[in-house]
Amino acid sequence: MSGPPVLVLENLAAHAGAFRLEISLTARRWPMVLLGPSGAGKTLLMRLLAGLEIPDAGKMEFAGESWFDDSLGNGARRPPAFRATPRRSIGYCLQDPLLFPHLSVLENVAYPLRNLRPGIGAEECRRRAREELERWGAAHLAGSEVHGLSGGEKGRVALARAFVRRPDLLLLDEPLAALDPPSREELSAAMRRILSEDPRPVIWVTHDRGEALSFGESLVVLLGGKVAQTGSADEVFRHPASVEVAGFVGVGTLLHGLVQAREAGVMRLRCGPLTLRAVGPLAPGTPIVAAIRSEEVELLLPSGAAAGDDGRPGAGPRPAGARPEGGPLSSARNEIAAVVTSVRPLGLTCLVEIDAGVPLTASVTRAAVEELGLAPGRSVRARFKAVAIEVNPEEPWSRTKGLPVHS
Amino acid sequence: MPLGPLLLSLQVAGLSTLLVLVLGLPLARWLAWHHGPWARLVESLVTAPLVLPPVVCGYGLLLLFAPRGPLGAPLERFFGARVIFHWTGAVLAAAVVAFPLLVRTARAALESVPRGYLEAAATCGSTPGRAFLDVHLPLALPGIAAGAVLAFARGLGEFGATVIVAGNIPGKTQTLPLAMYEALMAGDARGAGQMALLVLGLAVPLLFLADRFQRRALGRDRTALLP
Repeated sequence: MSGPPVLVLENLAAHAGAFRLEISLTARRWPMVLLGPSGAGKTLLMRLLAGLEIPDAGKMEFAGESWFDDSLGNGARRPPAFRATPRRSIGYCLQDPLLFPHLSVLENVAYPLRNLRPGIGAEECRRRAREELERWGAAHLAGSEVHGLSGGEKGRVALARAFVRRPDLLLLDEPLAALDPPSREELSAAMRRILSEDPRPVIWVTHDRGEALSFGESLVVLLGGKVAQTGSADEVFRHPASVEVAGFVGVGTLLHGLVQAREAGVMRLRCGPLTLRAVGPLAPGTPIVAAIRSEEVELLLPSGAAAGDDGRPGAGPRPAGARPEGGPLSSARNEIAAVVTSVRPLGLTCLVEIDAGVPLTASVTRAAVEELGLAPGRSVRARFKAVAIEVNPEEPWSRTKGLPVHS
Repeated sequence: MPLGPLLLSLQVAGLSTLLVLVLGLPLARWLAWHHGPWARLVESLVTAPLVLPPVVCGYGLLLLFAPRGPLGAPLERFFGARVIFHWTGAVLAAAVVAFPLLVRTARAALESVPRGYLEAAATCGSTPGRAFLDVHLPLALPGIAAGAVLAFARGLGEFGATVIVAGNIPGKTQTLPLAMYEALMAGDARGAGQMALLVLGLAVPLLFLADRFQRRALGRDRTALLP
């Protein structure tokens, strides 16, 4: 085998009532995040992948194994080849943990192991189940009854049950969505740790933009039953393929960096040559992904530069929080000098890409583009508030897209 | 106190309940998954003994299992077994009459198990058969137990079909209801009254038990719907 397993969907069609799903997709970068608003067909797609629904047409293949194929027999009246759920090596976890209420926690986690072929003994099943619970920090629950567990504990056990077989493909359909924020953070951290220790293909469904941007190695945006865009989080966030994608995902910049210091809830972030201020609880030294929506970035002309003046940028990025010479005092904590690299219309506004040592995008009205004379080569200052930066810890598996990390 | 008829009644009701479980559970499962016109037709046929006079059921069985009947002849030729005017005939009669009680209760119990659990079992690698035994059946067990208790109680009181298929042979096929009928006809009101109290004393706790099972099934379902 060379490289990670590949999932291929070819004109895969399915329906649920009047809703139609039609998808072509090749996924080879894991984990893959499936992002879309509710009603986009995310759950239907997951059920198709799990074999809980039978597609109407098309092809589905994972790791060279055909899971569904309607072209077999080439037009002959033969039923399409369909690999049933028990014969797919998958782990499936939903928002509803669906633990078997008549089994104890340990028996729940051991249950998938009983179906392994060739079989392993009951004793070995229990041992592995106990080990798996330990990985999820739930060893103490082994003997408990299911109905006494809290939501967070149920989530842990459900994930342990999905992971225990070490399946070739993990299908996680918003497994954390029903949890309260603290147990959600905890569980998400446990999952990230486990996936970095033991990487395996995961498809993670979410409608949470922040989760998607920080978690996925690749991102698939699903809108109205169709794939609207695929790519890395950076690509999708920076260059949405359509106004619809931009409307849902947002447009902006992802910066990779490091928390340098934290003081009174304000973090000093080092992202390449930039030093930014953001609000958040992360400890110094944490690698981060900072998302800055283009709507939050305000562009101004450097002091002294009149419209049409083609000045060069000043002495590089300014220390954060400083105010431009002679400019009015501002509450925005971040202000940096930059040069416009491109201006392109997107819907009713324009996306202005600027180079501030790292590329940034700003979304401004067409009138503002004309008034400020924004065109490639123009010197500007970009300003945004500390609260406008969304900071998420960077995943261990994402490659260093930013600068070499140093503290 | 006639102990013979009581013991025979318990034996007949117990065996007929077993027979009904073995034949009824697969049918209940099929009915729980299928809702087309064929399933409705089958369900109507199965339910018929509930509303037909038991005498009609008994007559039907008599036609089928008579020594020259379509089922009775091969039974006698290959197994040397005779059902008519034999206590096994009473088992058969009780089974036919109790069958709809179990099938309908078990079908409702199986249908009430959220499909998500069965899908979870499938994604854990279980074939449909395994998922039925490991998850579906245990989760529906309280409802199925309620159905089995009802079937047992119905078998205990069976009269009309039994008297036609098995006859009323004291010491051989005379169950408690038959003995009661005979006592009344013979003017033994005291004996009949004793037996009536006995039947009542058995039936009421059984119904109480069935009710308990059914309540437990409902309670479990309610908690299962909570996240």
